[in-house]
Amino acid sequence: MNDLLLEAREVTKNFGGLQAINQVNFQIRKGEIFSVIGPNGAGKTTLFNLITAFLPPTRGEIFFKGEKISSLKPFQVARRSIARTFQLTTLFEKNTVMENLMIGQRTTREMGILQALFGGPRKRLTEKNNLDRAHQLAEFIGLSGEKEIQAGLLPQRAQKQLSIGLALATNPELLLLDEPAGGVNMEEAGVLIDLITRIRNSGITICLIEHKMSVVMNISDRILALNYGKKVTEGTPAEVCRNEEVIKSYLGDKYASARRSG
Amino acid sequence: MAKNERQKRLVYGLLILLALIAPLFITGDYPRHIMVMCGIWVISSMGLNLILGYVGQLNLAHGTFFGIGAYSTALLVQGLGLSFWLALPLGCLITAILGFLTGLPTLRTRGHYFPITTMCLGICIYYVIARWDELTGGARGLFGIPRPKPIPLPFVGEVSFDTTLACYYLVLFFVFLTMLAIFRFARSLVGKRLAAIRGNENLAQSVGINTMQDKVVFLSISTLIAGLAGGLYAAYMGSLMAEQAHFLGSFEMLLNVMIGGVGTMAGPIIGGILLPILTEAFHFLGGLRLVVYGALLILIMGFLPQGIAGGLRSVALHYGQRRDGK
Repeated sequence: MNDLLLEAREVTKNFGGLQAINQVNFQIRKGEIFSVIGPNGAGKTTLFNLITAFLPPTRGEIFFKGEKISSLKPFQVARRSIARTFQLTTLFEKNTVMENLMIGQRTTREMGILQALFGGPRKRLTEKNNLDRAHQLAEFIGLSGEKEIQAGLLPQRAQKQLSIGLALATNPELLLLDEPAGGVNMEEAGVLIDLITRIRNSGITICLIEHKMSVVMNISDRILALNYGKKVTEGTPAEVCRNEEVIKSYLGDKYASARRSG
Repeated sequence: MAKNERQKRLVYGLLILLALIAPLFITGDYPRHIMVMCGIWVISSMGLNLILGYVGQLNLAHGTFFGIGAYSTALLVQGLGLSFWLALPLGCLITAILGFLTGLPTLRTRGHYFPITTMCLGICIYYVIARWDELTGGARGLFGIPRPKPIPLPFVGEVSFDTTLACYYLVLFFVFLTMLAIFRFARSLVGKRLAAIRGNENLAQSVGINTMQDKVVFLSISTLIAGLAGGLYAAYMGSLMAEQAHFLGSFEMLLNVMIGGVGTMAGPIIGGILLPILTEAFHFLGGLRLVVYGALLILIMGFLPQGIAGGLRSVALHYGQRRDGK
């Protein structure tokens, strides 16, 4: 169990009388693409908010590399190298692509007030490295031609790319992507899938929420299926899409039969 | 970009030179008094712009912190007999500590609640100052606050602050110091971090920025600058009234910043110079002056949402593009 990265134990989240997440257990292993699927309202985004401490769990605990993270604050979770994107693509809209990629980096959050005021060559070096890394990231996410454009003015696909770039800038070990291909057409989704694959190949573990089944089934190593806040099943894509309850609650009979015949 | 940057530096250099040699052309004591007041308002407005324009938090107790700085410095000099040169930094420190203590509970709020709570606080502190006769002299105010003691300088000899001219250069020194500090913040990665907090606090947290810590620290720095302006005001005027800590003072500084340009380097400088001059020009209007300000603010917000500085910037950009393009 050396390759265990994140573990959720009996995690429960109640909103008033509603059980958004109900005693869910799962593990994310180092280097894999782990997907979370389920119908709308199944609790997928709530699960992300629990992992990143934007919400405290009602019961249960979440561990990252053996350390309990479910009682930390969001920025502390981020500093333990867990990065995320948001379902409604969220960027620093008034800032340029480059500025977004600079903001995300560790050196930006670590620079002290006194260093900003009195810093000499070391500060300049830090800022130069930060700028260089932002250029690299812009290249990597495929926005090298849009560096000086205000993020809020980018088209939807480019905003999705940049939101992933912003999360990548933090140098994460675990990257949580909330519907990275939501709201874009299949052709544009291809660009994003390529990007996600390249991120995984660079050694970063990915946890993914996605509705496009063609995306999920092709790139995931393992899948967690949720329904009404409960874990339905967990396993490889082949195992999950054979599961009767997943078919009934989410995929539909049509999908299953297409899968069987195809 | 680089050419643009050089031009900008040239403009700033010329303006600094102009500020330094302005007393050569402006010789009357009254206009020079206005120049000192402009300098004090510029410092205080830069402080407000730091928390409003860069961090995105509207502190409506800013004028009150100006008053706290003024009273602390004055009381340290008068009551404890400290030298002004020791009282001023101590006064700033007291103001910053109170700013810090204010920030801890109030900055937990989001949206409109921070301006509302700080305005309430400002009103409360005003009444404390206006009623605490034993300490602040209450409604009568404080009188006979001495001017800063002369400082010996090499080559020049002793510099005394009896004249308005000397006070002008003293205030100008602190204007430059404040400008430099804010410039350094804005240009560094810390400036990027503040832009992130202003843009989207949740997103800033999701990339590991401790937004609460930065907000509290920069509120403290911003109130420190307000306290600095207040301390200079107390020593220059020689007297203080509770009105100087009135919460309406915050709105006057807010007007400076908004008319000049929120979140720009030049904004509070333009506003801080323009409004005191307008105030003098419209003196004959009495209370109606505020109506003129109201109309001015509406016009500026309607046509130049980034204030005069933002307007100038788009003119410069337009001009630059046309020249580069053709």
